[in-house]
Amino acid sequence: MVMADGVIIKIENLTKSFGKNIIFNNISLDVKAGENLVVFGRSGTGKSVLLKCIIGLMKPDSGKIFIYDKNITSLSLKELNVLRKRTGFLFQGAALYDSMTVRENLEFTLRRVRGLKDDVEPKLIETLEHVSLVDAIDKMPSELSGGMRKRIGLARSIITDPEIMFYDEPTTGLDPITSKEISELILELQIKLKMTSIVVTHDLICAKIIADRAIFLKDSKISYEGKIENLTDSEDPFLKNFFSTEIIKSSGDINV
Amino acid sequence: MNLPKPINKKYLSLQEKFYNFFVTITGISIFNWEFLKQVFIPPYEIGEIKKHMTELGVKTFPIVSIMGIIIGLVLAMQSFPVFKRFGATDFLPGTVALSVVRELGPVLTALIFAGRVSSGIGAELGSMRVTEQIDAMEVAAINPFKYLVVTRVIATTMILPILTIYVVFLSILGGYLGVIINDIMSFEYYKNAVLGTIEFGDLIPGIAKTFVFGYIVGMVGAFKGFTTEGGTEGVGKASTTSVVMASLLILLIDTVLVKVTIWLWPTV
Repeated sequence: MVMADGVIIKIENLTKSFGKNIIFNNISLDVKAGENLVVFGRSGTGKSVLLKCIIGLMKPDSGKIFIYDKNITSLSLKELNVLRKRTGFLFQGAALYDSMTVRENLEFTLRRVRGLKDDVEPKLIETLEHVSLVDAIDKMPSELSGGMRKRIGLARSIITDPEIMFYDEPTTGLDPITSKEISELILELQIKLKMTSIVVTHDLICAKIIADRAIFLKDSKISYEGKIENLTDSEDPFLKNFFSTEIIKSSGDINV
Repeated sequence: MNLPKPINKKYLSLQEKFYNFFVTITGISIFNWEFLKQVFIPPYEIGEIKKHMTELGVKTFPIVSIMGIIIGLVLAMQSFPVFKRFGATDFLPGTVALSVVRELGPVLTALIFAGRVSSGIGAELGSMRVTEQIDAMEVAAINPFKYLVVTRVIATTMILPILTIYVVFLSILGGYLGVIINDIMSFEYYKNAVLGTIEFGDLIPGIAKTFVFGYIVGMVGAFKGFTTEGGTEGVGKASTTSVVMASLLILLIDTVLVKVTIWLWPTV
């Protein structure tokens, strides 16, 4: 059930550390239904850890994480799995099951999550059409390029019709054109399938295409929060440095 | 399932090595407990178990075939001069058969199986861990322990006894080759001598312990692979430590099982 003010994901006073290294210190965050939230931050600031805490792959040291109105930090695995069936996760390296073909990757996930016994071929084709890779259906992951793997990873995540999507650096390692295509695809899917998304990225172009709102993780806190334009146009020296470098790198004007 | 984490750095002090040793013992105990909890809960993944049994059987078939023939052949060739010296060559077929059935067949097959399969499972699950494929299953609400670990451990436990019976059979045939290289003996005589020596009670403990060895091979490989950390280097480590740990455990547990066998079947 959606919480008050249309909030679908609520993080309250989250603290997470690895040994002496504090990743988050008491952070709080709300994500509304249908919203696309982009998470920025330098490498090692815990962007992926944040996603993994939300989906229950990592346990926070303290704090609460609500998805719908369920506090996932106190759920049993069975209850957590009920929630997980309503979400999708695109991993940085796509995490395709490399012993299975594209068809098997999609079919395995669909049958297991939705418990379908009947013919799923039309659903597979429909999902692969979303990512324009119907031709790759019988290929092994090792035969796919980086961009194709990401697309198939995306197809595998959305085949179960998730209500919430988590993207961990969806465009990292891709050329600017493919990265733009993936970003546009994410936006298109979000509009078409009415999903709520949290996107961890370094890619400003990707963020500009898909973000409704952005946050910036720094010094174990959410240092900045707001519209993407507010972050990129900020006079804050740190943000200026972070985003200007990204833009120069992306356009290839100078060698950094 | 919360497993304790070992200290992961290049050079470890003696104290840290001890700590990691106990972390591994604790970890594998928790892993075993988790297996026992999940093995009886549906879905039973029969298709997946069959697939692994076929794959593991096919993978190890050539190497255990060669090994089977050579064990019997070498044993007979080595023993022949000694038996001849005492005028006891008639006892050679029975001695070869007994050695192979009770000890050499099960243990050597298990060691070869550990080298081939435990490392394979360790590397496969290890690479799935570092490329986040196991995490991908978890976030899709698929139980990776059930799907990846339980199925493999059942498959190794079931397939090793079958391979051992096959190896024992080949070794006895190899023994005949070893005998006829040195002497004249009809196959009929050799066969009768073997069957006259081996009793049903000899077969049971030898085959029964291969279920335990098969379990060890699958469990150690799966544990090492499932708990891999540290990228591709970690995968390599998981693969090699799986073989070392599984082989050592097979030898240690065999010592215990020999004693148990003598206690349970005193006449054997």
